[in-house]
Amino acid sequence: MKLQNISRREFIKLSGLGLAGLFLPPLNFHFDDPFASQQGRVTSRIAWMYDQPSAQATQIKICHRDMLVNITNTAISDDTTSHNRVWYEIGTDGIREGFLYSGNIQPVKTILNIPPKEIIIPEIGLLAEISVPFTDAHEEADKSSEVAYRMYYETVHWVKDIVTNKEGQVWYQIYDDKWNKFYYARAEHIRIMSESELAPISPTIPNKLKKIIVQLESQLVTAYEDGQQVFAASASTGGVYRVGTYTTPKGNFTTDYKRPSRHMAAGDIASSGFDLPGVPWVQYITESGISFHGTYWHNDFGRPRSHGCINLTSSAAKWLYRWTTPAVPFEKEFSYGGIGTKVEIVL
Amino acid sequence: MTNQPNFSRRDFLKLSASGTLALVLSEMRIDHALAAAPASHGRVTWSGIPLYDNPSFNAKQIQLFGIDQVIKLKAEIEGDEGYGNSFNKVWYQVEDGYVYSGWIQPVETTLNKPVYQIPAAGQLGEITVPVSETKLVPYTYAKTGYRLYYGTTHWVKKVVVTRDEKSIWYEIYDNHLQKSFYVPYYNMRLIPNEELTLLSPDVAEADKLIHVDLTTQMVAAFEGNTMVFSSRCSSGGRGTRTPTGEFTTYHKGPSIHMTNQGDSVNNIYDLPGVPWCTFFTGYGNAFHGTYWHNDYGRPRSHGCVNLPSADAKWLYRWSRPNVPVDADYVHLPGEGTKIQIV
Repeated sequence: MKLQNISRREFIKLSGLGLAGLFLPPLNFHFDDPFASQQGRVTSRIAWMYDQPSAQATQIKICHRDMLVNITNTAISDDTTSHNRVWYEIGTDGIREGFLYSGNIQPVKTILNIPPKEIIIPEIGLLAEISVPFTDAHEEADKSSEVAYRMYYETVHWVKDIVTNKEGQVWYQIYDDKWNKFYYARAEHIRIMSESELAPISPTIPNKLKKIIVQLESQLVTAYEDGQQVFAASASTGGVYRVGTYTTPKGNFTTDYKRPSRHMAAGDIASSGFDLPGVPWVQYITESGISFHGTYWHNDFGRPRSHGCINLTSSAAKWLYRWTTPAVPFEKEFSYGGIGTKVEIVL
Repeated sequence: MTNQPNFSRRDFLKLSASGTLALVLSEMRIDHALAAAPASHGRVTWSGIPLYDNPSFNAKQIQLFGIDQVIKLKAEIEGDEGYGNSFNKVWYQVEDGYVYSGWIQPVETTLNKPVYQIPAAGQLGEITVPVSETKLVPYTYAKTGYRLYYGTTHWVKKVVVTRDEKSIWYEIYDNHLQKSFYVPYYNMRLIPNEELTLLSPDVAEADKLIHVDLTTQMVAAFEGNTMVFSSRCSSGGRGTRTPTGEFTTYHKGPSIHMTNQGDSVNNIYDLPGVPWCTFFTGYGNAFHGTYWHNDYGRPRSHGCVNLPSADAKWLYRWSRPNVPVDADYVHLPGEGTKIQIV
């Protein structure tokens, strides 16, 4: 199996060599600024753009869900009471357009992949992540077929098959672990992961010396090796909703059930339910389904707002997934039982 | 300082001369200056520190601790005196046994909220966790730089909020290396201006005196005839004795990267973020805070007067000149508070 993925910059270079036709046209980029390709995706139904980083400033325009913007910088609001004072400056080619509250913007990139000519897919499938802001998963390998789900940046899925459709486009077949169905998505938008990028972190540290502390009041998750802090990330734990109370319980737990990807759904999405395919890096700590996991539907860490889970950025969840025990073998859908890492949830 | 018993300068000097100072101070329970609550945790400052089954160096060794291990301290009890340190008999009772206090830095873990407004000249920050890693660039998964320890101070130049992860970092500047490092905001407390003001500003310069007794390793501060502060220190060890005589505290900095690299080939030390430095010679002799040992009472420094960081901070604030909040160093030859080292 030989796989390749290319950054947008390499892609631009390749386009010059006549390989371009397959791909989407490039968006804005600058060769000398490695962050130039930092895009944001609007995660809320609507988000107002303001002329200053403040909800009291003048509204410039309305942005809708899944609209892409160019993030040129971060800015801090004057609202010292806010749990998250970070706003994004939005612009193009050095011209500032306005500011968006960062809690509703998922930071994303567009990285296109060259689909492999030949590929050997084991029965379990190949673990893969979406490497573009979003891509639509269709019922068939055909863009005119019905869309089952929209799949977002850094969600993780199992690729079960590869097909080339009549237009010559390469599509992957993706397995939905919730509904036991198969969908199809464009191969260029999906990056096949390697075993090395999921190698366990600190595997030589005995498990009894590892511990995670979740602080509900400060919404901070910290990881310790023998009392020494090795990692920390801002989180969103269980919040209180109008239709009922969802809280993350205090107490001692262990991460003894882990899986790299989970389609999470519950309740009625019209009220407070949710239906989230491809939630990445899931580490369950209770039988009722409370877990650490990556988050693509908001960027509002620091405020309790989940249904009980501990929401982290996908990169933070991935780090914890690699650090906690038991390690999930690369070609396994999950690991259940065994000795998990200690988790202490405190106020 | 609070809760200092009434103890005059005359008594101090008299006892010091007769050689009974240590005994009297110990009987009066003032050889530990600050009546602070015992720390909840300790950081192992050296590799291979033994855990004993009794508070004695002759007791059975249960295990060896590695450097930077953080252990929970249950109680302070009296045991054997330390190597070359008859002044410190304190052992820490920990899970499964006892460890001598001289090698354990008392630490706490306090996580902080982010501060986004840093003055243009910079602001002083202090590490509030046992150990904080730094990064060479502001990114969670970036390469790590120096490890910073509890109670060390650093000059914060600005706040960085990254676009991709929204992680928040303080950029600290190392004057010695002329290089920046990045500290996660939750591990550092920005020090408010009120904590940097001059203590006892109404006491005339001529009435303040710092007295250091090298025999008993005691530092005391006097306002007129009244002792207002005392603390056990570690002065210069063999080959690098602290000079005796009269000095003044004429240059000071709240955070100094101390090293003898370039001057020495043996015994290299490299200590970033040494807090609360009150210098009294042109050769770098200073009172300052200490995070690499807790062995006060034994002369073991390279000429400086090592103090517990809280005590060094008190002396830094009490002595003149007062360092303005927007300066990382002042140097005023001829000025400063008097020091007597005997």
